[in-house]
Amino acid sequence: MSDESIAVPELSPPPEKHVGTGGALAGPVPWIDKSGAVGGVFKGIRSLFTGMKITVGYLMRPSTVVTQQYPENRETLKLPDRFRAQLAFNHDANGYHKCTMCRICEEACPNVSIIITGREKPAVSKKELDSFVWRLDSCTFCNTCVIVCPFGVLRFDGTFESSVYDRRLLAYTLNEYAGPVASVLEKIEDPDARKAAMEPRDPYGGHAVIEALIVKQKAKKVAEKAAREAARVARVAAKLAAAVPPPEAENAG
Amino acid sequence: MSWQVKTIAQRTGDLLPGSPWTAALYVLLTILAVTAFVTVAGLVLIYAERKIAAHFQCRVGPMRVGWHGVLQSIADAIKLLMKEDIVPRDADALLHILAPVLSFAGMLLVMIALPMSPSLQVADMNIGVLYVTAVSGLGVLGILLGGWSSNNKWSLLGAMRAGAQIISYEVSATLALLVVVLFAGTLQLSGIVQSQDTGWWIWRAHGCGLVAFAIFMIAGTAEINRTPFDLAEGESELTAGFHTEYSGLRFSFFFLSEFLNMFVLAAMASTLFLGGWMPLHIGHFAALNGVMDLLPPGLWFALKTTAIIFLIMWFRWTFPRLRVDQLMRLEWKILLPIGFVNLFVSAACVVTGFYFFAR
Amino acid sequence: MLANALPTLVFYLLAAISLTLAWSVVTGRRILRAAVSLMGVLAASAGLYLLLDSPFLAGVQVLVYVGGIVVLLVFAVMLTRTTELLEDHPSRHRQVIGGAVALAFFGLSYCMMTAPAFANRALTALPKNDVAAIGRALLDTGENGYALPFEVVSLLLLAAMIGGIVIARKPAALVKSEAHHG
Repeated sequence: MSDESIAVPELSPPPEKHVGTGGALAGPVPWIDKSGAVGGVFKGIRSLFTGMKITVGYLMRPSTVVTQQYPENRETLKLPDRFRAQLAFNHDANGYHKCTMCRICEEACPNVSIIITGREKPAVSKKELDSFVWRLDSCTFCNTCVIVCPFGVLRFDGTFESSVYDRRLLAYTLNEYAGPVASVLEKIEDPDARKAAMEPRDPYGGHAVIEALIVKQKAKKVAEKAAREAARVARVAAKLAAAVPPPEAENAG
Repeated sequence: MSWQVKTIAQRTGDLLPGSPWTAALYVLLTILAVTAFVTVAGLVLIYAERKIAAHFQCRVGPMRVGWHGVLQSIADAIKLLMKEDIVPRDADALLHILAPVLSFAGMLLVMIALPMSPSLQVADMNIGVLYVTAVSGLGVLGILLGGWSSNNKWSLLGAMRAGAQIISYEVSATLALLVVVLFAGTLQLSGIVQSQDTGWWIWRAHGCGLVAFAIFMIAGTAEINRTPFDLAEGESELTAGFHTEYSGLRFSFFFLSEFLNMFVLAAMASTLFLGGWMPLHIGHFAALNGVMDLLPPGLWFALKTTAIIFLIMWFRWTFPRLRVDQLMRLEWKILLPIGFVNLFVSAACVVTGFYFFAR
Repeated sequence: MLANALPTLVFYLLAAISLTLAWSVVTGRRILRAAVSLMGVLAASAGLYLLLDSPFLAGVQVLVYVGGIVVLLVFAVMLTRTTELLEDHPSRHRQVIGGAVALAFFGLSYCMMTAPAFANRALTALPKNDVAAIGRALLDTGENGYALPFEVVSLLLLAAMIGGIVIARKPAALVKSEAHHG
């Protein structure tokens, strides 16, 4: 359908004064209908018929219906490819992932729904992923993390039945193991050594990580508060010291 | 073939001298029947609207209550009846209660004049067309009062828009009606139907009927506040327009009269332009006319009305909403001049007898 | 007997409704309720016309007054007033003038009704219940025709329409300046 065919009948060209922007709009303006008052009416009427033809086409062909009768057709449910229901990790055939813990996704996330923690003691490489926690309860499904990931680790998939009775279960650990990236693991020849470098992770263990983080942050805050308090006390003491001259000086005067 | 028109009012009148109590019972039964018809037709129309709208938009509509959701309207009606009936604290309570009643009464009063078949018409007034135009004006008053008395900005804005729109488009609708009145030479609705014994007015008048039909459909759609003229309740701008503050039973009064007004519009359009209950006759070709007469007149009326209702729904689910200035321009600068010219041309046609199968 | 009593009964019912609503139009404090009462009064007079076997007049009454005048009135009220009208104590000046006008109107009506020439004419002038006859009478230039009053009314309406356009259009200076500034 071309642009002209969706013009409203009584929408004649806007008055000249609206286009008076100097040389910026020199040349023909594409959206100004040049067909005149009467021609415009006929054009508009034709466009109305075009629209009606399209809608009646949908009405006549039941195959265009996109509605899914969900609980009934649970087995045969067809979801669109770009449906975003849950963030997921791309694990390859061996079950390895490519996350290098670069934290770009964590930075990009607009509402801190991604929390990445590294291993305290990396087994093989310098940095190793411990847990990649994704919080469904605060995620807006904006897809930014998937776009920014330089290694294609993340994807959104269509497993949408994510309702739970405890909201703590909405913090998922996405990685299946804690350990180095696929390329590092593949260099290790010994399968037992590979296994030793990988530590399995539970998908529902995410909340523990968040709680640990919260405890850590609280401790940090308490420490900061104590430090501020100490600094304040020191400042006050210094002021007092400056205001009240030491007694020895008075005696000397 | 001549048709024996006998209205319910006439039958009641026949009964009155002999047995007044039977006549009273007859009146009571008629009132019950009209009420039942209005309710059932409303429910059916709402279900049809939802289903058709869904399929126009690649959806399926209600599917859960009953087979393919056929009982959905009943479920909704029960829900509406159960709901709390709220009058806003600072509203003018009396007018707030009166408004939906006025709206509903306007629709109901038009309903009794519609000729559904030679034997199925409550009252056949001599001034039928005038009566319909006059009484349908009550609906506007209901909308205006409802919007005002709710003490709500959206309601007021919606009511003002609805008022301006309906008053404007009434002019065009009346001009289109007058064309048929000119050709038929009567204001009586059954008379207009019978004047189409040799063909419907939409094609007998050399285009005048077609233009009048188009104007009547556009203006009528505007008068019943349906898309593309639903500025009065444009939900994206005014929440729900004049009935924002209504709930429960009174909301359902507004809702029902809105849907039944669609039926009234379709019935009027089919009566005036498509011959009402008159089967498709072409001149005096007895063979064709005889075949067409095999279908009973009531069925003809139902088919034509259904077709026009479908057309109105098709409009609604295809066209985008107009802006207020476009709305006014369409009426005063396009429809009204065309309507006047059309009326003039048809007057000339009537005077010279220049139309198909003129008597 | 019942058939004869019914119209009388309906007449008194309509008259009572008319008077009650008219009283509430005049004394009502809320202007929109007054408008609705006025609508009731006008509808009741349409009923009276029906009782007089003039359905056409009744239809026109509803079309013009209920559907037109009252709607415009309500519209005007909605456009202008934001709160209800509270005028409990009109000034002495207005009271005197209002009373005088009411008295004069009453006197005029009384004189008209008692004048013998007025009483008989209207009964035979117009055929009842026939729209075509009313139309012919309206355009009749003969002795009993109403062509002249009809044309006069048309002229009046035309003048009112032109007046409306003149009031509504922008002053020439404003149009010019707008065109200039673009």
